[in-house]
Amino acid sequence: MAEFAANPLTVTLTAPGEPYYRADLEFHGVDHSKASFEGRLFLNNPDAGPGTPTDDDSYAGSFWIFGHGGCAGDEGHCEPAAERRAFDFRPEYQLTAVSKRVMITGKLQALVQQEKSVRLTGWVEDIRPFVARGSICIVPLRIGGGTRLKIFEAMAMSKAVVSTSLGAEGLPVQADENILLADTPNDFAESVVSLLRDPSERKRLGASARALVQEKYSWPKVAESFARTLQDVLTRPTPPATPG
Amino acid sequence: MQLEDLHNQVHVWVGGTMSEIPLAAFDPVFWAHHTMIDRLWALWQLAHPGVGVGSVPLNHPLGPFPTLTVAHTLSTTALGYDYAAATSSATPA
Repeated sequence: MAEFAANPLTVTLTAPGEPYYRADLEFHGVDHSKASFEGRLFLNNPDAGPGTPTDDDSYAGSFWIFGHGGCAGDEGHCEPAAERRAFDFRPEYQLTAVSKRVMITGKLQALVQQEKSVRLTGWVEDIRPFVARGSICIVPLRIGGGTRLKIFEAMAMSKAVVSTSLGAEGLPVQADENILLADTPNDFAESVVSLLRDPSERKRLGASARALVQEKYSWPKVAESFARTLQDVLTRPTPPATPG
Repeated sequence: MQLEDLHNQVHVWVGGTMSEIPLAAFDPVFWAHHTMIDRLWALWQLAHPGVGVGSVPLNHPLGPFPTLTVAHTLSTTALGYDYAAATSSATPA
């Protein structure tokens, strides 16, 4: 069975003025001439793909196409005899694309309810599920210090990162190569929006970020570097004792 | 969920010849599946008396039976058959 991911579809929704009891997403011009398939819908999840499970929060439903299976048959079936066989009563017809409708009422209502742009989770046992659900990671740091490990954690998870220069201070990152750096609110917002609109760039940045972490900061690499430092300390000549 | 989608889903889920329109009827399970779909449609009609079928081309001929149109197939009793749950008070299986 083949799997593929369609390009994300931008749908602009205008909140209705009155309460609604049903919301459908309609697809028109769906081709049913080839193999049968299931079309799965994920809302507000541009990274959704064939492997995204249907118990993901963003899953909104499916439509199913029972297809004509393309071309199949004995040799010469694509070149039927000029004359139709006498017992073939089937009328001629042309396949027309179909329309499909998926009810997304519950999911849409949930999305509208979640219009808050910032959600505070409080303490979590493991940040990885939260990082994994995000399309990108942002570090809008304007003051403060620290070892910036959270950027490395996000990079290790192949996430594209947008940070201020201060946020990435001391890290051997390269702007536009494995991270986006922006220091003004406008530049920061533009970087975030551009990444949200460009899945291939997010993927490239994320892959490059992970490659950096794997090359320099994986456990084996860090252990090796630490061992070398310890060895260096051990082999250094002991300074003479100070008389006194 | 629309009945057509439920119908499509089973064809795709079973797979093999059932997943292709030109070949599906060669699979014996096709007939049981379509009987169930027809039964669901009949039960829905019983539960929603008088409700129309929307934008369906009722006068569309159903080849290779040139005397039959879509309108002729809307009622099981008019076609000479029925389902047990439709005529008894027993709970449908």
